[in-house]
Amino acid sequence: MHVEVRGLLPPNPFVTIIGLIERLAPGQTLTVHHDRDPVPLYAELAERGWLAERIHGEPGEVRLLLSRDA
Amino acid sequence: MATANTFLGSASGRLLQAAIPFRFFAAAVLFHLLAWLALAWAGPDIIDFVGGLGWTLAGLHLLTLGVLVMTALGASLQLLPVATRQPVMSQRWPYELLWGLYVLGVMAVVAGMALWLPTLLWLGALTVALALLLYLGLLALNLRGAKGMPLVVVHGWVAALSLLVLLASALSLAGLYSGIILIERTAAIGLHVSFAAYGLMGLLVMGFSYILVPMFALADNPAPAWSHLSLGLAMFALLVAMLVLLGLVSPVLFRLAIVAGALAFLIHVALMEQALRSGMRRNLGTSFVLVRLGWACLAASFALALALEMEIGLRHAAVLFGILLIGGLLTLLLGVLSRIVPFLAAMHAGAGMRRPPTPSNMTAQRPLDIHLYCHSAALALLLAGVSFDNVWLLRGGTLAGIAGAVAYGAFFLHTWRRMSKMLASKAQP
Repeated sequence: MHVEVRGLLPPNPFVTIIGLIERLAPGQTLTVHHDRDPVPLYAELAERGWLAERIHGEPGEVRLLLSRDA
Repeated sequence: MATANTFLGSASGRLLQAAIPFRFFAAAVLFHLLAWLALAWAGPDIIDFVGGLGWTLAGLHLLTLGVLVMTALGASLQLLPVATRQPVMSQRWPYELLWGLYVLGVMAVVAGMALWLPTLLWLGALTVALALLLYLGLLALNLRGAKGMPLVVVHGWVAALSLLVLLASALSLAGLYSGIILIERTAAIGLHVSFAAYGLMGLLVMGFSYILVPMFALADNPAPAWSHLSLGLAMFALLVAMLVLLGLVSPVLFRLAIVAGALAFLIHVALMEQALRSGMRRNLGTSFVLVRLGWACLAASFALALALEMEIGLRHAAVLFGILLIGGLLTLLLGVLSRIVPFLAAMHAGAGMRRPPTPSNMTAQRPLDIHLYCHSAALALLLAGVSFDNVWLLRGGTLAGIAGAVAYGAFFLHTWRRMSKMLASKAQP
């Protein structure tokens, strides 16, 4: 699943991403397309047992792959 | 795929070094304890406080300058660049200079007040003013380059302008004891209280709440029309208050300023409550019990301000107003800080780690629970002690305040030590 949060003002990207991962089925991942490094997101993901990995994206994009911590 | 060491790589541009915000928070936590000790030392003098040098004024300024403004400085230096999507300044010296000057100035101001040393008070006030002008410069740089977040940015600008009024009135009041008269005393006190508490602190708190409360509650942003109305009313209230206090319009209009300010605040609280009720995270723990208690105290402060202005007979109304206003802001900020500190600690300790620590892992809940009970009891006992002219209730209140401040210090120390340990282990080759 992909989510585009570029252009959204804080804290909407944060809220959107956390809202989505709560609804994902076990084994599903979420690819986030962001325009900045979502600094506050990582601590919240860790709290919910999720991992974030920076993956290759377009120039100027911060693309993250979110998956459940096995 | 990125390797673990590039994970969070660009975060460093938006995070200050952990030591910078944490030294502001550490100073605030220490001044918090000193404030309650000073108020305990002042004892019965609190009940009849009408201004003037002494331990009550020193305790009051340990809370306002030492805790409220210190916390606001530390939080805004870190959170504003994140909110306005800007990199933080790479040099450490402006932050270190600000911290050093400000801590030195606050200590001189409160020592000058407590020990009746007007020259020390004046020198301290000048040092605090210098530090806050430096902060104003950093704040203005950030606000000028902000990308988006107009609501937060306008709150920031109004807070910055309030800071200028606050500094002028503060220097005027501090100078009075050394024979330096800048603004007439009654006007200076009115400007000082209005622009320090409701202007600077109120606007900073309201502005940041529009980001932090939805983020913590995992809720949508509040309706812009209502948040703009709240901001407009707050600006109108401050403007009218200033015109009245400078003698440019009828004094009766001060009531209008209070009502407009109260409406602005109530709209803001209603928006925040809506976010809390509609958010995905319902249980926000003790932190938001404190936040709600703070909101209640601040709402009551407007009612008491109106009663004072309308000369409705109420014993020790001015002291009760002061407890509700400063106590309300203190309660609100301590609540927010108890969420921000573990969150920031987890962010710093986890930078570059594939599995970062969780905020709950960095928190010591027991001290926070103890602080909640002690702090709430302290406020209630202070209000009861002043209302009933009862020194023992007052003393009980200050003792509960001291116990609460020690517990809060234990919570902060726990988080700081955990973060420092993790940062040290990461730094090892």
